Amino acid sequence: MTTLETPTLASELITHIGIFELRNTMLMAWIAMAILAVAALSIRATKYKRVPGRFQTAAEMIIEGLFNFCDSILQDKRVTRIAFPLVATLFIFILLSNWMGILPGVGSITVEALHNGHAVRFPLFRSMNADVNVTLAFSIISVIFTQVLGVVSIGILPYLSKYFVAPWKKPYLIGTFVGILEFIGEFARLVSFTFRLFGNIFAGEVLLVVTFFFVPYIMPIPFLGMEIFVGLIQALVFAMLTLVFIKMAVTAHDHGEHPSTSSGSSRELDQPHPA
Amino acid sequence: MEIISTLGINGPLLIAQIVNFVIIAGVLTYFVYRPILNLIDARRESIRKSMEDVDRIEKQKTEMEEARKVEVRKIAEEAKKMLEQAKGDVAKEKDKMLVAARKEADDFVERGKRQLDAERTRMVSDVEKAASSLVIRLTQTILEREFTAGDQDRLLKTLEKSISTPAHATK
Repeated sequence: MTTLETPTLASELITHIGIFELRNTMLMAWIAMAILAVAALSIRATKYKRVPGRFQTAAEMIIEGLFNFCDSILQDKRVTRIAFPLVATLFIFILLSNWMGILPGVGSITVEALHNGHAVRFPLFRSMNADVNVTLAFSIISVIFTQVLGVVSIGILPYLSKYFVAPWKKPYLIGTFVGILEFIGEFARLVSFTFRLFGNIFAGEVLLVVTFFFVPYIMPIPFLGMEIFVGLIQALVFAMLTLVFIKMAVTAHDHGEHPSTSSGSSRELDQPHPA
Repeated sequence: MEIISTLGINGPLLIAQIVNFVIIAGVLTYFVYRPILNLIDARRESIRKSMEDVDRIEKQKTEMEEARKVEVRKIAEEAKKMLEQAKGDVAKEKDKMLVAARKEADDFVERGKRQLDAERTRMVSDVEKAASSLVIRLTQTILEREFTAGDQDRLLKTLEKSISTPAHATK
C-alpha cells in the first residue's frame, strides 16, 4: 500500500554544482525565468509598432493595467515609474510560479537520491514559492527597495525621524514608543511577507497532495481551481503590500504638526524630472 | 538554527534567488516595461497633441467663420450700395434716354408734318396744274366748236390769266 508523502518544509536537493546546491525549486525558478525571458523577447520581436498587433495589444493592456494599478496606490507618476518594474516583476514572477506549481508533473515527477545513506524519492519540480528561500528573497528585495526609495525620496534624517522620535518632542513618549514599534514593524514585515506567501503556497501543495492521495479523480479539480485563485490573490497581495509600504515610505512623517500636509509626497522625487 | 535548517534556508540559494529575480526584473524592464511605457507615453502625447490640434483647428474654424461672416456682411453692404447706385444711374440714364427719344420722336413727327405739308402743297399744285390744263383743253375744244379764232384767243388769254392766279389766292 502506498503511503501519503507530504512535501517537506525545505526544498529538496537534486545535485551539487560546485559548492552550489541545485534544488528542485531552483529548477522551477529557471523554468519560470526562461518562460518570462521568451515572452519578453517575443514581445520585443513585435518591434513595438505604433499600430499594435494582437500580441502587442495584449502585452500593452497587461502592462498598462499594472501601471495604472500601481499608480492608483502610489498616486505619484514619478514614484510609480521608479517602483513599477520591481512591483510588476514581483507580481508576474510570483503569479507565474504559483500557477506553474499546479501544472501536471510538478510534484509528481520524482527522482531518486541518497539521503542520510537511504535512497529516497522526491519531486524533480516543486513550486517555487513553496521554498522559504524564494519568498525570503522576494521579501528582502521588497523591503530593501522600499527603504532605499524612502530614504531617497524624503532624505535620511526625515526618514529616520519616523522611527526615532525624541521623548521631549510631541507627542512625547507615545511618539518614541510608536517609532520603536514602527522600527520593529519593518523587520516583522520581512517575516510576514516571507511566511504569508510561503504558508499559502506550501499549504496549497499539501492540500493537493492529500486530496490526490485520498480521492484522485474529480475531487481535486475544485482544489486546483482554488489554487489558481490563491496563486493570483497571493501575487496581488504581495505586490499591493509592497506598493502600500512604498507609499508609506515616500510620504514624509509630520508628527501631527501639519495635518493638512501629512499626505505630502517625496522631496526629491517632486523635483522636475530630468529630460 | 534548527528552524533555519528545517525550513531549508540556505545563504547561497537565497542569494541565487535574489540574483534570479534581479536578472528577470532587468530583462523585463529592458525588453518590456520601458519600451511599452515609453510607447504608451508617446501615444498619450500624440493623442494630447492631436486633441490640441483639434481644439486649435476648431478655434481657427470659428474665427474663419466669424471673419467670413464679417466679409460677407461687408460684401453684401457694398453690393447693396452698388445696386442702389446702379439703380440711380439707370434711372438717370433712363430719363436721359426718354428725353432724347421724346425729342427725336418730336423731331420725327415735325419732319413728317413738314414733309406731308410739302407733299400736299406739291400735290395740290399738280392737281391744279392738271385741272387747269384739262379746263384749257376742254375749253379749247368747246371754243373750237363754238367761237371764232379771235374770240378764242381772247377767251384763252383771259382764262390763262385767271388760271395762272392760284386758287387759294383768289379766295
